[in-house]
Amino acid sequence: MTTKDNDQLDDDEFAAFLQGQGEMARRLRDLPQPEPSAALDAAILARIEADLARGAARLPDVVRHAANDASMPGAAAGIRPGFMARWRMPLAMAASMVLALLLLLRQPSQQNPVQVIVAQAPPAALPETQTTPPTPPPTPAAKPAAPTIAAKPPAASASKIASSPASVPHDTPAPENKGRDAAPDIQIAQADMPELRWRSVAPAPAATSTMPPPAAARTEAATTPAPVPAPMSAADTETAKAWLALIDEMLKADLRQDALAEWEKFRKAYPHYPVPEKLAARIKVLKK
Amino acid sequence: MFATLAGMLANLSDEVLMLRYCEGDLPAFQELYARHSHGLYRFLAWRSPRSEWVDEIAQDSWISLHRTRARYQPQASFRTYLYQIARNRLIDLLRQPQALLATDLGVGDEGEALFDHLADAAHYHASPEAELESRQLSADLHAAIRALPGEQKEALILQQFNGMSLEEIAQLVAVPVETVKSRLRYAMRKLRQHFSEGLAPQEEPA
Repeated sequence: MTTKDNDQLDDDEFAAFLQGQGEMARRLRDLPQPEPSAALDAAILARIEADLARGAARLPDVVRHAANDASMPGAAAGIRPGFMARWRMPLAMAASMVLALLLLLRQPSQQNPVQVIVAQAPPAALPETQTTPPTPPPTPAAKPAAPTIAAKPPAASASKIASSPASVPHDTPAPENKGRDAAPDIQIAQADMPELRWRSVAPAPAATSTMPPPAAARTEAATTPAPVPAPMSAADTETAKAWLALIDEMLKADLRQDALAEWEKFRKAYPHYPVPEKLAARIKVLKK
Repeated sequence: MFATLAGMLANLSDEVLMLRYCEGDLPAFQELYARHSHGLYRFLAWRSPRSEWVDEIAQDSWISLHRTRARYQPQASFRTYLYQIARNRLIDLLRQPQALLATDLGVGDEGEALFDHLADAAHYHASPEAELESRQLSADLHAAIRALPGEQKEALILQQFNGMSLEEIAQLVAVPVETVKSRLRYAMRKLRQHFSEGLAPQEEPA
């Protein structure tokens, strides 16, 4: 019998197998199968019935993970579906807008009055300052005022707007960090008006005391995350270790795709964590 | 009246029932549960590495379905949606450190206890010889299935024991249909090979 005949036989058998025909399919069909107990059925039905009768959308937090929840070990408790889920986004946006307004209103107490005026009308100030580059700095008094003012309001408002709903929850609980975060925010917000940024930093010593020069900040921002592997805490090490063990376990269980997906997440979370050579080799083979 | 209602629900598709259940229709949920609870339990029992997890995952899956029912989109197959929840829950459990520890220590019994019990129960009323032979066959087949690689085993269980189409399986495990087909073909070959090798020595004495 040729290989072709064998393949044909295999194809026929496989087609029958998929239809539930043939000896193998029959054996599988006859295999005793586990069934849920009556107690389990009753418990589930009673629970759902009670909840529907109550009309409540939420059950006690027995189930922490929904179908598409994030899968990091030790991750936060699961999302809360139902009524609040529908309103989460609009509420977050409203909260961020209120926060942005509050920050704008607080500016007068921290800055001089001239800055406030310009902050309220950045579009008007912008063209004026943009036309100035060819000319040398006019007066020492006008120079520091205009740039710092033009820089501040966009930083506050633009960072809030640009951060969109996704980052809103991170911003809202920690408004006190604004001062520390101001430098990177300003650079992002002003990416489309470089002249203004450079001039704002150079002549204004008051501004530089709270904000590092953009170039320095930019290089700092560019260099800090990449080469320096931050020392991991004991908890992080434990998490990473457990995570690797999980990936290993998934590989043992032949859940290759899940393992690969998990590996990608792990690497994003812990790019510098040392991985056992054996595991790394298996992942490498899987990737191929 | 109840018989009429039950008959009416029985004619509705899963997706329509799910939409009715989303609106708070308990009989619709009961019909869905009656249709899928056995299949889901079977899938979990074959896939779960520990028999004591099966009840817990089954219960969690249904309750999770209940909690997330508002997110259900009728474009997706209800069964795929339900099994996806259960599958993710199983993977979540595998991720827990104590689960890893248990498996590392060899405590995980691969569901053997459950299936041994099933084999015993299934042949309880047969004659001693027939019972022995049948139990042996079941045990062999069970061992052969357990020996399959996880992805092939999963495809086999979903197709043969749960009656899922290749497309449904592909959607559930997020691979192309051809991959599912390939996994099933390998699984069938391995089972066939197992039996051709395993039965030959048994036939010799006869």
